[in-house]
Amino acid sequence: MPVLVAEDLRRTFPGPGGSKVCAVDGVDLAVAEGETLGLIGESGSGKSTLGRLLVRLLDADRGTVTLDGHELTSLRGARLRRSRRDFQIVFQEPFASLNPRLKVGAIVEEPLLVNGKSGTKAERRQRVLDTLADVGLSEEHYDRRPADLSGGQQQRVGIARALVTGPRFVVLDEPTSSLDLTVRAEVLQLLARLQHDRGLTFLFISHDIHTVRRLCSRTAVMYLGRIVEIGPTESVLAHPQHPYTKALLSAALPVDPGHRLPHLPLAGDPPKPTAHRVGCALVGRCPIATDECAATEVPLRPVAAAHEVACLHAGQDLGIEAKEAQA
Amino acid sequence: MIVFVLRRLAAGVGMLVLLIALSFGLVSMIPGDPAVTMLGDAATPDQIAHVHEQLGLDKPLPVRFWDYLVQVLHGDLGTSYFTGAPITHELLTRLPNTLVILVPGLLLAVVLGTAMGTAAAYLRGRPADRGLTWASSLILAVPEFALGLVLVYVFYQLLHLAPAPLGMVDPTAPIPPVQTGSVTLDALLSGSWPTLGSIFSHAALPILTLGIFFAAYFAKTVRTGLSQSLRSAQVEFARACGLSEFRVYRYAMADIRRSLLTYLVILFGASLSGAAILESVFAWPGIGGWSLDGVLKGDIPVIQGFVLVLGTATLGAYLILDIVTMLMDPRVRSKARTRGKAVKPAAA
Repeated sequence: MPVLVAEDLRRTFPGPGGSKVCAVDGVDLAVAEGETLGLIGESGSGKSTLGRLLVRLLDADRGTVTLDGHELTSLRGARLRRSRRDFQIVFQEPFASLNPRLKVGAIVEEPLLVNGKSGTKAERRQRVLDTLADVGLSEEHYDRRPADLSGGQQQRVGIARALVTGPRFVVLDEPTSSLDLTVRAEVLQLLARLQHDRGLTFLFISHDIHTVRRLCSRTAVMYLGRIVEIGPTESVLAHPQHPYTKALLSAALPVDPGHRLPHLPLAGDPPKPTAHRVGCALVGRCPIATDECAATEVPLRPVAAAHEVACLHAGQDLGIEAKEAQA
Repeated sequence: MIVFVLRRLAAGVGMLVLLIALSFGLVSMIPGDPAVTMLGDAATPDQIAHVHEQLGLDKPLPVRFWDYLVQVLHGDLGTSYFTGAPITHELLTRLPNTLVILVPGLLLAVVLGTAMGTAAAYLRGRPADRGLTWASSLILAVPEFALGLVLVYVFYQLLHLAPAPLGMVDPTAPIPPVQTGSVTLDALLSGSWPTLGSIFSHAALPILTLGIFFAAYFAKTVRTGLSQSLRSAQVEFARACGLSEFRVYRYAMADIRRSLLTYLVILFGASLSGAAILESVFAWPGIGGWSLDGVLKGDIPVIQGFVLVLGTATLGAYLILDIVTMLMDPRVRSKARTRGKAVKPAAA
């Protein structure tokens, strides 16, 4: 039973010269209870826009989002604000996302005040302290201000603020990409532990494949506003089927330098995502594209257990497998 | 925190002494001999020597500076070369008149400008935003006295809502008993409502002129600053947590209120020295027209008095700005506190 279901989400932004930029182009997504779904893709692929659509920080042009069967897309005003306790987001820049004038205690307490029914002052304080303890901070941080904390601690405050209301679903928008490597590992561990202890459901947006490999049970790959491949992380990362996924993985640094995939070059730059396209977005850059790819709608189709790919020639040899064998 | 205030105060006093020195130096810096200015070109050397002695210009420079400093600190700014009126008295009667239009005018500008800027920031890119931006650019392009003349035309000539732009009180209004010499303060002190009412109706148009003119500046600042901070991660997180839009707005404004206040103080200083033209449009008996007259005639005590008052008011405004900014920002507040703590053991 999925906690969060998105259907046919679409969002365009006004582009230069009156054109339209389609950042998210008809995305269907279901996130199951207690899972961490990874969302990878290069900059500009629409990952963050999708995350913001799911938590209603942006309004979708089309499509619906439901959380535990409740429609979120039609909520407005005070009802939307009150329902926000059930879905939250953690941002990339920990310091910029915290109010520098407030103390940590007040920052974490704020979401509790939205509903009014959050108990007495003492109860709220206790709840804030409990949440701070959960994210690895202590009572001494309660009266500090964000500027007094390290980057890792600031991000812990961000996580505490997102979790204090006990949300069902949390979008993590590259929560560790601005952190040092050692701190990053700690925060990732923390997220994994929190999810295990609280049974949380995460959408983890990242462009770091290794992070996704560690944290995510399933992974979705996004290209130009569409999900082109989705499946169990192991399966997607070990046996990528979509040419774009293969290219993305071949561009990543391997953990073991000896096992580097041969680099798969995609011709040219990603096209401007200006208009709604009929066919596959990778046409023109893909080595195995045919006329059919540009002319027909390419839906996600299962290729293995729970592994779906939006490619007419999924799994076809791109020429790099042979090189890999030679190496 | 008290340490901080005292430090700022000490710096302010230092600047004040510098200011007095500058104002003193004006006598020597302004071309021409004051005695000649006063007596005219036909003056004989004897007459000039006599005036030099009267003004103390025959004494050596350090002695003259000391005399001037003592004089100024006693509140005596000398007398006008031409009218013989004591400068201190002139300033005390005229400065309140200027402040009566300047302070409300600037406050109106802040309120109006913030409202316009906020609307533009929230409606960024929409027709309303473009209209507001266009309107404030237009206001900025027109000199303020022209705006004043337009307002006089509309509200006095066409609508007959405002009194004639001649002075600050109707001749028919009762004259309050003289206590300070400033009509406004006297009327206020004696509770003379008809006079106050008359002052207010005369002040309305100059206040409106200043309010609209400077509102354009604030509108631009608020629009730029606010539309940026409304897109900040902090605001996005606040919205994601479901905080009310009012609170979100407050947080976003907190980012820019400091630059807004600084702007207000700068404009206060600038408009104090630029009051002359607006005051002459409305025949307003403030310090602007008076000082302009002094400058044109080379009436050095008048210029000195004006420089001192202007400088003191601006320095005072900056001091208040520093203290208010500090009180508003909890980070500076707590830093000032911890710094005070850290200093003590080192001193002991």
